[in-house]
Amino acid sequence: MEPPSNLALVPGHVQGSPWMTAVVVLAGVSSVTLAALGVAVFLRRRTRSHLLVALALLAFASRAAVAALTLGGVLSEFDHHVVEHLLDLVMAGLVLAAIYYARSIEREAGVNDP
Amino acid sequence: MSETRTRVADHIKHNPGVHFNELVRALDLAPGQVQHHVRRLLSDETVRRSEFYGRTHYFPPEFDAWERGALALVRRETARDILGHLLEHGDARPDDVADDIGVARSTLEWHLDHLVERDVVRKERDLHNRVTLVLTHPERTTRLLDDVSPSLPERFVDRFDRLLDHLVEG
Repeated sequence: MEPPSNLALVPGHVQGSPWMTAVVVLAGVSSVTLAALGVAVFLRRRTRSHLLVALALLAFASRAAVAALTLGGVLSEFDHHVVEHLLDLVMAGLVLAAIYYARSIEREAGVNDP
Repeated sequence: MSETRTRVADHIKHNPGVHFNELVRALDLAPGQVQHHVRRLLSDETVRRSEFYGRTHYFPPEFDAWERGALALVRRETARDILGHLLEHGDARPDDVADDIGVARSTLEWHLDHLVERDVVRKERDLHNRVTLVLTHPERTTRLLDDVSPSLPERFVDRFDRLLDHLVEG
């Protein structure tokens, strides 16, 4: 890959490039859209599972913010990795909990009623 | 009437049941401006408002209470699918509707709760307590389905809701 041309704009310790910035921006826009959908669906259905999925998507969207902070030089590469992996843990936990509580959505809907 | 106020009134006339944010987006006006004009239109009864499920919807004055409630629901894609099925096939069992339109039972039940609440669909029970879904006003429902179609964000929220229910119910 070509070396980045606008190094003057990026702090020295970040291997940033216009491509990297573009990817972070696109990931940010799409993950925030996804999180907004998750929140909208939770506001409609108001079950515990929908809340947990919305929170997991918000955690997912905040990864883009962490990447932006790293590109901006606020977070070090090390902090960046720690925070991202912590967010992974949070996301996985929330989705597992959402699956655990999914049974109560069915009960609420009377799925197994006559 | 000012030109802007005429635009607001016309938009509500052509999009009965439109909600506030959509009005702001479609007319490309500041929220304060829309609020001001809507308030005037409400006070001279050119426009009516109703609140459904946390959202304020605006209607031309000729829409009655039943139509206003039903309109808030026919903007939801899945609710439209359910009504479309009942219009096409007549009275049906919930399981058949869910299978036919491809939604999980929990998605169907959530939409049915609202359709029943607004008297668009009736649940009739036989001697064995088995449910049949019946349209309360088929002709009026058809007319309303023709009148409005869901916006892109509304379609996305609806489809994401369906997807989640499918994922958790398998």
